[in-house]
Amino acid sequence: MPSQPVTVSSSNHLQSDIKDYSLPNASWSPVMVGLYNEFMEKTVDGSWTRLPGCWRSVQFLKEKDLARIAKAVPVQMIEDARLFLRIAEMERLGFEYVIFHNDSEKKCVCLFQPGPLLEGLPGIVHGGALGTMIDTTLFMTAYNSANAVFTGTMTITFKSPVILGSVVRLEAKVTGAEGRKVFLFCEAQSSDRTTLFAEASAIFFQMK
Amino acid sequence: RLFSSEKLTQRDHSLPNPSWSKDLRLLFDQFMKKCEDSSWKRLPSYKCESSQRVQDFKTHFLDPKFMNEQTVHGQLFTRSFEDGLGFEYAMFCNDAEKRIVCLFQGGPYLQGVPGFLHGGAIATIIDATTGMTALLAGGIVMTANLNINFKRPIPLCSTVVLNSQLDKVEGRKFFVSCNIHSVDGKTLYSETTGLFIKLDPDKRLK
Repeated sequence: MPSQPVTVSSSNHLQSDIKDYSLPNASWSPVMVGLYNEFMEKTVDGSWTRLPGCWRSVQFLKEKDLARIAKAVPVQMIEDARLFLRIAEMERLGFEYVIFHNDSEKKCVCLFQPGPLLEGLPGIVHGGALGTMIDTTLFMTAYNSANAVFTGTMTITFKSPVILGSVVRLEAKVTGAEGRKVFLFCEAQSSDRTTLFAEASAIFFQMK
Repeated sequence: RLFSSEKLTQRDHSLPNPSWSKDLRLLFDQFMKKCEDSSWKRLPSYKCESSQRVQDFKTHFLDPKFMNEQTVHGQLFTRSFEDGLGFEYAMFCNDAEKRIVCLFQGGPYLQGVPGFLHGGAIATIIDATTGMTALLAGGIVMTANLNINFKRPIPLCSTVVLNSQLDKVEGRKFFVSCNIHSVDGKTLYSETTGLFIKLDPDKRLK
């Protein structure tokens, strides 16, 4: 039975501002929760950190970096702006995800469960939606491990389609640096790591 | 599955609405003029694609064992937002030249770094435009590769123009390229090359 089309609309998000979205909710599948628990175990000794999932872009960048960006590429701020990943306030519909960062290994692991709003071909995740999660995971790695903010280049090879609602495990790491360039690599696999959905290489730029 | 009467009442999103900027409207009118001699054609865009092509995809390529009661019924990612908040765009195709122009206005809910479009949102509209270019040439295709060079960040809520071109066809491989420019043509925001693969009619998706 087809479900009623859903639309993301504007809303009063004062409450949404302080909520951490990267925590288990009722829409998370048992596989997603299982992997989450596995990684939470790893945070106990401090080698891994869970990154909070915020509503606004300004919340995941440090104050001084926001100032540097504003100076480097001045632009008008839009009042009602919302982080792209927060396309739905309601759970299950859009990007359900949590990212864990490992500082010493300069890498991040992202657990991602794509919802029905992310469809491309019927029942399958849109290439741009998977690309968005890849870009985000690469960004969190580049920013937290190497203070790089802007994507310079990103090459994604899609190997296998992702079915809506299934769990994707992404892992991104810094592979090198040259001047202000930071080189990264990212793999998107099935939860049991037997299927490779996509792999990507990217160059991010550190700010001057 | 939508019934044909439902398709008739579905809204075509590639038409002006109150959230469209002056720039976007002007460009749209310019391209509608180009459609008058049929060299260009405006492409309609729906939340739930119910065309015959998509029905064929469901019948031939989706493995029934993956599609059960738990299967999520979705809607097109780029049409999941209320007017003006997300992806506002209209695509025009030129069959003879095998190219597509996409007029795109990225709304406030597509933010990445404050004040700018998220790299993933840019990748999404690039994927949609290059994908359509390949689809018009080859039928149902899937993205195999996207190589995006982000030259300059795109300000949130600005209007930009994507120019996508079919470069080469090799069997089931469709090679496409795409640039994103400012409306006045002076700023180049990104360059992309991509590869799309036409699905093998003898194989189901794994």
